[in-house]
Amino acid sequence: MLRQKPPRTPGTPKTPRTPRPAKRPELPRRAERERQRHRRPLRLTGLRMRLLAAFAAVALLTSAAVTGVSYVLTRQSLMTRINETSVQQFEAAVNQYKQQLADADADATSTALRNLAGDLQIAGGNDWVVYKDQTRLATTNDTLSYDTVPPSLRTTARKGVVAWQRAKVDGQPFLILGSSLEGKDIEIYDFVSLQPQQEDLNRLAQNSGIASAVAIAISLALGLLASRGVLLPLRRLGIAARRLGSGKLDTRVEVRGNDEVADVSRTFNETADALERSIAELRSLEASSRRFVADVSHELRTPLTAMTAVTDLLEEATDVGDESAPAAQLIVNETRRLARLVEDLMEVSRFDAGTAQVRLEEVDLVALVHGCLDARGWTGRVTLHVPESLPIVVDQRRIDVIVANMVGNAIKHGGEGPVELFIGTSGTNLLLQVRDHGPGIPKDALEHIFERFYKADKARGRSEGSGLGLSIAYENAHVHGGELTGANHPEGGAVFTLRLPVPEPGGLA
Amino acid sequence: MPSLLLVEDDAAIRTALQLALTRQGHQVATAASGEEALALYKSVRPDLIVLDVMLPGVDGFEVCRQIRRTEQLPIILLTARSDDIDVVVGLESGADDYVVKPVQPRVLDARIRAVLRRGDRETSDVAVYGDLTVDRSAMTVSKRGTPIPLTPTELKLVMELSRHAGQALSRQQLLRLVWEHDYLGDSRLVDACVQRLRAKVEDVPAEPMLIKTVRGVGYRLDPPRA
Repeated sequence: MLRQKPPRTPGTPKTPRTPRPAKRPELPRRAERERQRHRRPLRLTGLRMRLLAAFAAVALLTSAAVTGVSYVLTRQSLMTRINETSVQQFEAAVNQYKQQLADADADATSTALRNLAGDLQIAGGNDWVVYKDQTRLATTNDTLSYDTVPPSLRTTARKGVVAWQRAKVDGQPFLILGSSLEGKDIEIYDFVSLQPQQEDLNRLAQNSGIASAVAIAISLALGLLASRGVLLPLRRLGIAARRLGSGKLDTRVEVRGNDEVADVSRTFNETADALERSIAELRSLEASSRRFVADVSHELRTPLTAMTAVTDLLEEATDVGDESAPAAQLIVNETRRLARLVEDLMEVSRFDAGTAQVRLEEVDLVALVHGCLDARGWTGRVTLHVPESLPIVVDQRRIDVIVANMVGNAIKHGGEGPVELFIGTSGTNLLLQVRDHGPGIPKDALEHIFERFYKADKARGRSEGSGLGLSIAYENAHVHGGELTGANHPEGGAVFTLRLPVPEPGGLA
Repeated sequence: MPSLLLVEDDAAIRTALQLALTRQGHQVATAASGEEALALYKSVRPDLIVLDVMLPGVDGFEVCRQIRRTEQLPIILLTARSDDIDVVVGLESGADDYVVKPVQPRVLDARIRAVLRRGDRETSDVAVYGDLTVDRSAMTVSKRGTPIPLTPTELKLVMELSRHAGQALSRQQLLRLVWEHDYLGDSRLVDACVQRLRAKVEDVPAEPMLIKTVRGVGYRLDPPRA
């Protein structure tokens, strides 16, 4: 069984209060795909099939050997017994009539023989045939001819000893015994049917077959159990390894027993421990460096607040023409820049720490855009292609930041040409596009424009912005479940597109 | 000349804001802690208090709550944006408005003046809403003949609602009319102030009969019934 340790989040910095973390769009159902990958078809070359085949083969060989040996032995003992009994009976009967026959004349002989045959049949239930000069003198069964007796048996029988041989008559197994009476040319043959013995043996073979089938079935079941015993821990290890790979670092497997699988499980757990430790270390390092940035910005803010408060005073206090005026102006400007930078850094820290809060409100996007442009004195610079009004549920401060960034960038980098702003919808998305008619974004800069402190134009090392504007705008789009993209228009100029998902009606809590 | 009490624990910010606000034409007294502020405001009798939220010892919210127990004078909070939840707590403790640090003196001055204007008298008449009497020329609100003490912001809110009686006003409209905020005004100011106002004028604040919530729009004061 997989077991899970209580979740630990070393990356979360301590905050005095617990604000609602920014919502991130959910990844496609990854767990679902994972689960489906686990369900694999039974492979013919798989360990399970190989184990089962081995078990079945062993069961088959063993039962075949046992059945074969016991069949042969049983057959042998059955045959030996029937031989001995038959030979004894035969000898006894032949001896009993030998004297009678020796003295009798031809007619008497014939009668005696018939009697003999009859008696023997009554005694042993067998068929008898008596021949003289290869002519049948007496029989208990008319279908038996002289040819039925195998020639080799006849040869031996004629010597006056008791001979026997197994042979088939009309497809039936028989033990044929034979002997002869000296001087009379009389041959006596006794046909002992082996049918009952054959039937016994057939039953034996049949039962052995059933026993073998049962044995194979049992061995297959045992094989399944054994393969489960080996494969289940292996499967658990596989699942655990996949979980570990997908980032669930607290995944461990239960170590059972003291076998090879337990060894591997133990190694797995040790590796996972080590991995979790080093990742936790890395995360805490990263968290502390982020916390450092947050702390530094926070500490800088207090003196900056004081400085910002007096910048207006300083600006007014220095008269034009006074030689300290440019110095004062420089301090005023740089203080404002620094204040902006610190604010942006703090905003970035909030995104990094996941403490950025989204305060949703129903607002009119068009009114918001108008307000945003008005507040920054950009109304005359931007050509609007927007509907009358467009109600939308967003954090208006964050959307204002995004729009201000998009338009601000277009004005800054778009040269003298007009800046155009479009608002439209595409499926369930709302699109806000800002296009300028400047030189566009350099190709090698396209994929970096949302990076922090990235500047496309290296020559212009310092610009008015903090260098964090677009990356903050990007994060702001992201916390709304939308995205911000930048591209070049085929007819020249840069196009930035903000895509926001339109929430279902009544989505405002 | 409006007199202000500035409560801020950081000496540099305190001095800087005092300088800036004095320059804007205010008479500024300062306090460095919540305790000092609570001791001082009774003797100084300021027209308005500018109150930092993060104070050592008695914090800004507590100062706000204690003052509100007896006084209706306007309070503006200084808060940091990262402490977004502070705004809610601050508004619940009875603040009239808030300014996010780092403070732009011009913004703070505009907010102060807007709050102070809320006490200005208007030339208008008397309207009766059930038990409630709103005298727009005397700037008083009374319930069953008993005057209700209202802060200037609450008073201004009731005046604006009364001026547009029977008409729903959106939160953004109220922010512009009462708080004189720009387009990015915080609608929680309106909600918090309406809650406080209902607590004072409604019989059952949870089931308002006078100041109704208009879902998806804002608020409405029902016109006087014949």
